[in-house]
Amino acid sequence: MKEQKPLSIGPREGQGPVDSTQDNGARRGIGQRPQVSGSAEQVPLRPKPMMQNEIQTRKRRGRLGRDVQTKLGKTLQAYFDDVVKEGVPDRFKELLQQYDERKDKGSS
Amino acid sequence: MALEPSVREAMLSAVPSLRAFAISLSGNVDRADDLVQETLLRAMANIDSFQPGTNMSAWLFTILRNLFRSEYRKRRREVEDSDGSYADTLTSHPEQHGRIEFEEFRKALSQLPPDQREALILVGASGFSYEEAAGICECAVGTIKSRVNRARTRLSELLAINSADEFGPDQSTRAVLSASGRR
Repeated sequence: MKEQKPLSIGPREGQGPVDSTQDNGARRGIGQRPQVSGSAEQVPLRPKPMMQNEIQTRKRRGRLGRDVQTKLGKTLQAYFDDVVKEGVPDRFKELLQQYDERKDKGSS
Repeated sequence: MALEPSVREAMLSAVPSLRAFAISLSGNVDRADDLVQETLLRAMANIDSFQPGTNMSAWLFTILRNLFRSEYRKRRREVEDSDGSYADTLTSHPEQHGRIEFEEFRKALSQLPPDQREALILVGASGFSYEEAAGICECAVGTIKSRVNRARTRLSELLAINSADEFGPDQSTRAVLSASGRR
Protein backbone atom coordinates (compact mmCIF):
# COMPACT_ATOMS: atom_id res chain seq x y z
CA MET A 1 0.00 0.00 0.00
CA LYS A 2 2.63 2.47 1.05
CA GLU A 3 5.35 1.57 -1.36
CA GLN A 4 4.83 1.09 -5.02
CA LYS A 5 8.36 0.09 -5.92
CA PRO A 6 8.42 -3.40 -4.48
CA LEU A 7 5.47 -4.34 -6.66
CA SER A 8 7.68 -4.54 -9.71
CA ILE A 9 10.20 -6.64 -7.89
CA GLY A 10 7.74 -9.29 -6.89
CA PRO A 11 6.76 -10.70 -10.29
CA ARG A 12 10.24 -10.51 -11.68
CA GLU A 13 11.73 -12.51 -8.90
CA GLY A 14 9.10 -14.99 -8.05
CA GLN A 15 6.52 -15.35 -10.74
CA GLY A 16 8.48 -15.79 -13.94
CA PRO A 17 7.90 -14.24 -17.33
CA VAL A 18 4.19 -13.59 -17.09
CA ASP A 19 3.40 -9.94 -17.46
CA SER A 20 1.68 -9.75 -14.19
CA THR A 21 2.25 -6.15 -13.38
CA GLN A 22 -1.40 -5.38 -13.80
CA ASP A 23 -2.62 -8.52 -12.23
CA ASN A 24 -0.25 -8.03 -9.41
CA GLY A 25 -1.23 -4.44 -9.00
CA ALA A 26 -4.86 -5.38 -8.96
CA ARG A 27 -4.28 -8.05 -6.42
CA ARG A 28 -2.09 -6.17 -4.06
CA GLY A 29 -3.31 -2.70 -4.84
CA ILE A 30 -6.48 -3.41 -2.96
CA GLY A 31 -4.28 -3.49 0.04
CA GLN A 32 -5.52 -6.66 1.53
CA ARG A 33 -2.34 -7.40 3.33
CA PRO A 34 0.13 -4.71 2.49
CA GLN A 35 2.48 -5.45 5.34
CA VAL A 36 2.83 -9.06 4.33
CA SER A 37 3.67 -8.30 0.73
CA GLY A 38 6.19 -5.70 1.88
CA SER A 39 8.05 -7.96 4.23
CA ALA A 40 7.82 -10.98 1.99
CA GLU A 41 9.76 -9.11 -0.62
CA GLN A 42 12.29 -7.68 1.71
CA VAL A 43 13.35 -10.87 3.34
CA PRO A 44 14.87 -12.64 0.34
CA LEU A 45 16.64 -9.50 -0.80
CA ARG A 46 18.21 -8.50 2.43
CA PRO A 47 18.27 -11.14 5.08
CA LYS A 48 18.61 -9.22 8.26
CA PRO A 49 19.79 -10.46 11.59
CA MET A 50 16.83 -11.69 13.51
CA MET A 51 15.25 -9.22 15.82
CA GLN A 52 14.57 -10.17 19.38
CA ASN A 53 10.81 -10.30 18.96
CA GLU A 54 11.10 -12.41 15.83
CA ILE A 55 13.06 -14.96 17.77
CA GLN A 56 10.42 -15.00 20.44
CA THR A 57 7.62 -15.38 17.92
CA ARG A 58 9.40 -18.23 16.28
CA LYS A 59 9.98 -19.92 19.57
CA ARG A 60 6.34 -19.61 20.44
CA ARG A 61 5.23 -21.13 17.18
CA GLY A 62 7.72 -23.92 17.10
CA ARG A 63 8.78 -25.29 20.39
CA LEU A 64 7.02 -24.41 23.55
CA GLY A 65 8.97 -22.78 26.27
CA ARG A 66 9.92 -24.98 29.13
CA ASP A 67 7.76 -23.07 31.59
CA VAL A 68 4.69 -23.52 29.41
CA GLN A 69 5.39 -27.21 29.01
CA THR A 70 5.74 -27.55 32.73
CA LYS A 71 2.45 -25.77 33.36
CA LEU A 72 0.66 -27.90 30.79
CA GLY A 73 2.15 -31.04 32.21
CA LYS A 74 1.12 -30.18 35.74
CA THR A 75 -2.41 -29.33 34.73
CA LEU A 76 -2.79 -32.50 32.72
CA GLN A 77 -1.44 -34.53 35.59
CA ALA A 78 -3.75 -32.82 38.08
CA TYR A 79 -6.74 -33.39 35.82
CA PHE A 80 -5.82 -37.04 35.51
CA ASP A 81 -5.02 -37.56 39.18
CA ASP A 82 -8.32 -36.02 40.13
CA VAL A 83 -9.92 -39.19 38.78
CA VAL A 84 -7.19 -41.57 39.89
CA LYS A 85 -7.58 -40.61 43.50
CA GLU A 86 -11.18 -41.78 43.45
CA GLY A 87 -9.77 -45.27 43.55
CA VAL A 88 -11.62 -48.34 42.40
CA PRO A 89 -15.41 -47.93 42.30
CA ASP A 90 -17.30 -50.80 43.89
CA ARG A 91 -18.87 -51.84 40.61
CA PHE A 92 -15.50 -52.99 39.33
CA LYS A 93 -14.58 -54.85 42.48
CA GLU A 94 -17.92 -56.60 42.26
CA LEU A 95 -17.39 -57.32 38.61
CA LEU A 96 -14.21 -59.26 39.29
CA GLN A 97 -15.79 -60.92 42.29
CA GLN A 98 -18.78 -62.09 40.29
CA TYR A 99 -16.53 -63.35 37.55
CA ASP A 100 -14.56 -65.44 40.02
CA GLU A 101 -17.68 -66.83 41.65
CA ARG A 102 -19.22 -67.73 38.33
CA LYS A 103 -16.06 -69.42 37.21
CA ASP A 104 -15.76 -71.33 40.46
CA LYS A 105 -19.29 -72.61 40.16
CA GLY A 106 -18.76 -73.58 36.56
CA SER A 107 -15.65 -75.60 37.24
CA SER A 108 -16.84 -77.45 40.35
CA MET B 1 -11.03 -71.14 36.69
CA ALA B 2 -10.96 -68.12 38.94
CA LEU B 3 -8.44 -65.38 38.34
CA GLU B 4 -5.07 -65.74 39.93
CA PRO B 5 -5.00 -63.45 42.95
CA SER B 6 -1.97 -61.64 41.57
CA VAL B 7 -3.67 -61.11 38.22
CA ARG B 8 -6.77 -59.87 39.90
CA GLU B 9 -4.74 -57.50 42.06
CA ALA B 10 -2.94 -56.17 39.03
CA MET B 11 -6.24 -55.58 37.25
CA LEU B 12 -7.79 -53.76 40.16
CA SER B 13 -4.77 -51.60 40.73
CA ALA B 14 -4.88 -50.53 37.09
CA VAL B 15 -8.52 -49.46 37.31
CA PRO B 16 -8.04 -45.93 38.68
CA SER B 17 -5.74 -44.82 35.89
CA LEU B 18 -7.73 -46.81 33.36
CA ARG B 19 -10.78 -44.78 34.37
CA ALA B 20 -8.87 -41.54 34.14
CA PHE B 21 -7.74 -42.51 30.67
CA ALA B 22 -11.28 -43.41 29.64
CA ILE B 23 -12.65 -40.15 31.00
CA SER B 24 -9.96 -38.17 29.25
CA LEU B 25 -10.79 -39.91 26.00
CA SER B 26 -14.55 -39.74 26.19
CA GLY B 27 -15.06 -36.69 28.36
CA ASN B 28 -17.94 -38.44 30.05
CA VAL B 29 -17.94 -40.47 33.26
CA ASP B 30 -20.77 -42.82 32.40
CA ARG B 31 -19.36 -43.71 29.05
CA ALA B 32 -15.92 -44.03 30.57
CA ASP B 33 -17.08 -46.44 33.25
CA ASP B 34 -18.87 -48.52 30.65
CA LEU B 35 -15.64 -48.61 28.70
CA VAL B 36 -13.71 -49.74 31.76
CA GLN B 37 -16.29 -52.42 32.49
CA GLU B 38 -16.16 -53.69 28.93
CA THR B 39 -12.38 -53.65 29.08
CA LEU B 40 -12.29 -55.73 32.27
CA LEU B 41 -14.78 -58.23 30.86
CA ARG B 42 -12.72 -58.65 27.73
CA ALA B 43 -9.53 -58.93 29.71
CA MET B 44 -10.97 -61.65 31.93
CA ALA B 45 -12.36 -63.53 28.97
CA ASN B 46 -8.98 -63.37 27.26
CA ILE B 47 -6.76 -63.69 30.26
CA ASP B 48 -4.97 -66.60 28.61
CA SER B 49 -3.51 -64.23 26.07
CA PHE B 50 -1.99 -62.09 28.80
CA GLN B 51 1.63 -62.96 29.34
CA PRO B 52 2.44 -63.08 33.03
CA GLY B 53 5.23 -60.76 33.95
CA THR B 54 4.34 -58.22 31.29
CA ASN B 55 2.68 -54.91 32.00
CA MET B 56 -0.95 -55.52 32.94
CA SER B 57 -1.71 -51.85 32.86
CA ALA B 58 -0.43 -51.44 29.30
CA TRP B 59 -2.42 -54.48 28.23
CA LEU B 60 -5.64 -53.09 29.69
CA PHE B 61 -5.00 -49.65 28.19
CA THR B 62 -4.57 -51.28 24.79
CA ILE B 63 -7.90 -53.06 25.11
CA LEU B 64 -9.67 -49.94 26.27
CA ARG B 65 -8.21 -47.82 23.53
CA ASN B 66 -9.33 -50.28 20.89
CA LEU B 67 -12.82 -50.40 22.35
CA PHE B 68 -13.02 -46.63 22.43
CA ARG B 69 -11.85 -46.27 18.88
CA SER B 70 -14.29 -48.77 17.48
CA GLU B 71 -17.09 -47.11 19.40
CA TYR B 72 -15.95 -43.70 18.23
CA ARG B 73 -15.93 -44.81 14.63
CA LYS B 74 -19.32 -46.40 14.98
CA ARG B 75 -20.86 -43.36 16.56
CA ARG B 76 -19.35 -41.07 14.02
CA ARG B 77 -21.06 -43.08 11.32
CA GLU B 78 -24.33 -42.92 13.18
CA VAL B 79 -24.23 -39.27 14.10
CA GLU B 80 -23.75 -37.22 11.00
CA ASP B 81 -21.17 -34.77 12.09
CA SER B 82 -21.74 -32.22 9.40
CA ASP B 83 -20.51 -29.20 11.28
CA GLY B 84 -17.72 -30.94 13.11
CA SER B 85 -19.49 -30.60 16.42
CA TYR B 86 -19.18 -34.22 17.39
CA ALA B 87 -16.50 -33.37 19.88
CA ASP B 88 -18.95 -31.03 21.57
CA THR B 89 -21.51 -33.75 22.04
CA LEU B 90 -18.84 -35.79 23.76
CA THR B 91 -18.23 -33.15 26.35
CA SER B 92 -21.50 -31.27 26.74
CA HIS B 93 -23.03 -34.05 28.75
CA PRO B 94 -24.24 -32.73 32.11
CA GLU B 95 -22.51 -35.50 34.03
CA GLN B 96 -19.03 -34.65 32.95
CA HIS B 97 -16.33 -35.54 35.26
CA GLY B 98 -14.43 -33.15 37.36
CA ARG B 99 -14.92 -29.80 38.84
CA ILE B 100 -15.44 -26.44 37.35
CA GLU B 101 -11.76 -25.62 37.71
CA PHE B 102 -10.93 -28.11 35.02
CA GLU B 103 -13.69 -26.99 32.70
CA GLU B 104 -11.45 -24.96 30.44
CA PHE B 105 -8.79 -27.62 30.35
CA ARG B 106 -11.22 -30.41 29.58
CA LYS B 107 -12.76 -28.38 26.79
CA ALA B 108 -9.38 -27.74 25.22
CA LEU B 109 -8.46 -31.40 25.56
CA SER B 110 -11.65 -32.41 23.79
CA GLN B 111 -10.73 -30.27 20.84
CA LEU B 112 -7.56 -32.19 20.14
CA PRO B 113 -7.64 -34.85 17.45
CA PRO B 114 -8.11 -38.25 19.14
CA ASP B 115 -4.65 -39.45 18.10
CA GLN B 116 -2.98 -36.52 19.74
CA ARG B 117 -5.16 -36.60 22.80
CA GLU B 118 -4.47 -40.22 23.61
CA ALA B 119 -0.74 -39.84 23.01
CA LEU B 120 -0.57 -36.85 25.31
CA ILE B 121 -2.49 -38.56 28.07
CA LEU B 122 -0.53 -41.78 27.86
CA VAL B 123 2.82 -40.05 28.03
CA GLY B 124 1.97 -36.93 29.95
CA ALA B 125 -0.36 -38.27 32.62
CA SER B 126 -0.53 -42.07 32.69
CA GLY B 127 3.17 -42.44 33.18
CA PHE B 128 3.91 -44.59 30.15
CA SER B 129 7.16 -44.27 28.29
CA TYR B 130 7.11 -43.26 24.63
CA GLU B 131 7.86 -46.88 23.79
CA GLU B 132 4.98 -48.21 25.86
CA ALA B 133 2.63 -45.61 24.41
CA ALA B 134 3.71 -46.62 20.93
CA GLY B 135 2.92 -50.21 21.82
CA ILE B 136 -0.54 -49.29 23.10
CA CYS B 137 -1.32 -47.17 20.04
CA GLU B 138 0.30 -49.62 17.65
CA CYS B 139 2.46 -47.03 15.96
CA ALA B 140 6.07 -45.93 15.80
CA VAL B 141 7.77 -44.21 18.71
CA GLY B 142 8.48 -41.20 16.51
CA THR B 143 4.80 -40.92 15.70
CA ILE B 144 3.96 -40.77 19.39
CA LYS B 145 6.58 -38.11 19.95
CA SER B 146 5.27 -35.90 17.20
CA ARG B 147 1.67 -36.39 18.33
CA VAL B 148 2.60 -35.40 21.85
CA ASN B 149 4.41 -32.32 20.59
CA ARG B 150 1.53 -31.26 18.40
CA ALA B 151 -0.91 -31.88 21.21
CA ARG B 152 1.08 -29.69 23.57
CA THR B 153 1.38 -26.91 21.06
CA ARG B 154 -2.30 -27.02 20.21
CA LEU B 155 -3.31 -27.18 23.82
CA SER B 156 -1.23 -24.17 24.69
CA GLU B 157 -2.86 -22.28 21.84
CA LEU B 158 -6.34 -23.29 22.91
CA LEU B 159 -5.63 -22.25 26.45
CA ALA B 160 -3.81 -19.17 25.23
CA ILE B 161 -0.81 -19.83 27.36
CA ASN B 162 2.03 -17.69 26.26
CA SER B 163 3.79 -17.52 29.50
CA ALA B 164 3.59 -19.53 32.61
CA ASP B 165 1.83 -16.77 34.48
CA GLU B 166 -1.17 -16.54 32.21
CA PHE B 167 -2.59 -19.89 33.03
CA GLY B 168 -1.99 -21.58 36.22
CA PRO B 169 -2.62 -24.87 37.81
CA ASP B 170 -1.04 -23.09 40.71
CA GLN B 171 -4.20 -21.18 41.41
CA SER B 172 -6.99 -23.33 40.13
CA THR B 173 -5.51 -26.75 40.47
CA ARG B 174 -4.13 -26.34 43.91
CA ALA B 175 -7.54 -25.20 45.00
CA VAL B 176 -8.94 -28.34 43.44
CA LEU B 177 -6.37 -30.58 44.97
CA SER B 178 -6.82 -29.17 48.40
CA ALA B 179 -10.59 -29.45 48.22
CA SER B 180 -12.11 -32.53 49.71
CA GLY B 181 -13.31 -35.40 47.56
CA ARG B 182 -16.37 -34.96 45.44
CA ARG B 183 -18.19 -38.04 46.44
